[in-house]
Amino acid sequence: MELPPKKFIEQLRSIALSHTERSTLRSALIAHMSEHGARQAAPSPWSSFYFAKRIQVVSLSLVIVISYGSSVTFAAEGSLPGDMLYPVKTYVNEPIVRVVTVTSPASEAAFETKLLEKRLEEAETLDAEESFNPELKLSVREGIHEQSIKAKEKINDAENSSGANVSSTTISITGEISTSSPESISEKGDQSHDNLGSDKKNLDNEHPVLRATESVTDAVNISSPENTSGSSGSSNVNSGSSKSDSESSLKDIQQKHKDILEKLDLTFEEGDNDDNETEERRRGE
Amino acid sequence: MKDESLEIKLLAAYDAHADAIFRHCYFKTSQREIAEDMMQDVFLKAWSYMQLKRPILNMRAFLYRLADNLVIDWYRKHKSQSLDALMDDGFELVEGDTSIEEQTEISLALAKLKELSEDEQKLITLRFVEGLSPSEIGEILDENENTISVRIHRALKRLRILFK
Repeated sequence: MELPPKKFIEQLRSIALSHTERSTLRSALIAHMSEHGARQAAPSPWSSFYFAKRIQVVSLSLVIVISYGSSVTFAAEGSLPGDMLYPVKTYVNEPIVRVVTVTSPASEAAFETKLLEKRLEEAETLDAEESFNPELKLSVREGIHEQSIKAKEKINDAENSSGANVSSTTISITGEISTSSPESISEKGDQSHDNLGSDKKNLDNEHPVLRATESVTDAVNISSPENTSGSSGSSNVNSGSSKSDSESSLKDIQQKHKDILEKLDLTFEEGDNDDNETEERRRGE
Repeated sequence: MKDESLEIKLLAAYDAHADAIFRHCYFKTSQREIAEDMMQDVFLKAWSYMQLKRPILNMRAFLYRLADNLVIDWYRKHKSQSLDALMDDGFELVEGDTSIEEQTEISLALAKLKELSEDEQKLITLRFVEGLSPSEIGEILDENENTISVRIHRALKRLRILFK
């Protein structure tokens, strides 16, 4: 291919910026870059880079939220009533566990019983602490009461769905829950210990199966902590008599339930006794 | 966010292509000062573009395209002035780092160039003055490489007739 006249091309090529022009414009460009580099133009939302960054930010914050949240729920696991994280434990952790673990009425009953056990353990731990004030005590009691009703319902459901004969054990346990728990709360009131005892006896008359267990709780209520082992032993005998006619898993739950209820009465025994003592003292005065 | 590598990249492009871009604008506007401003604008626009983190595959072709767009904008703004009138005015004195003698010769060469059509001018200057390959010119003008080759050949033929 022929080339254009060399001289012509060279002449055109010699058109250029002068040295000073070039360097002036160059420094102007540098100034512009340093000035406008920091203030980045808003990236287009359609830019793939922008999008990728967005996703990164979102996923990172998700990770933070999840890990932070899980650490909170983990920390909440060891909390006690009155703690900041206690509502997290009862309203977040436990419902999640419930959803995950509950597959059948029997497992639901087991779970609710376990929760009741947990509430009691909390109460026991709290009882050992000095900060366990009457207000908190009341709310703990209510919590235990609610939980015991719930557990009772679930055990009933489990029994009904499993088709097992409604054993005397169940009646006695559920009856015990419904009667003894409110009483333990009402003990805080003006009622004296003797009045309570007579109420229970009235109940016993109406519900013969309850008599044995109620007498146990009565004994516990009246007796000192040293007598605990004896009373729990008698309750074991009571439940053992009816073990034969219901499913073993259900029985286990029921047994646990019963033990817990005994513990419940024990746990609040000391506090109640104190209350009663002050009550009596007031009366004496 | 300041990106050092982008700055270095653009400065390197400036050092390599500032004169060529300036010439490119000068051939079209015939006015030295306007060509200077345009060249500056080309690099500022390139910088803004780089800040968006969009990839630039061929920096040289990219700069020429920016320059062409600026020239088009400039023509639109000066619609009131007829293009022919501008052409008739001829080129301003070239100045730069050249002697008066050289400047006269350059003016003559430019006058010769102006005898070609705009397309031919562009093809001749890009191919022979700036030394771009037909494929690069194709990228700037958004044309097929073969088409560009054929058109360069025709433009060259025309130029040779002018010199006869």
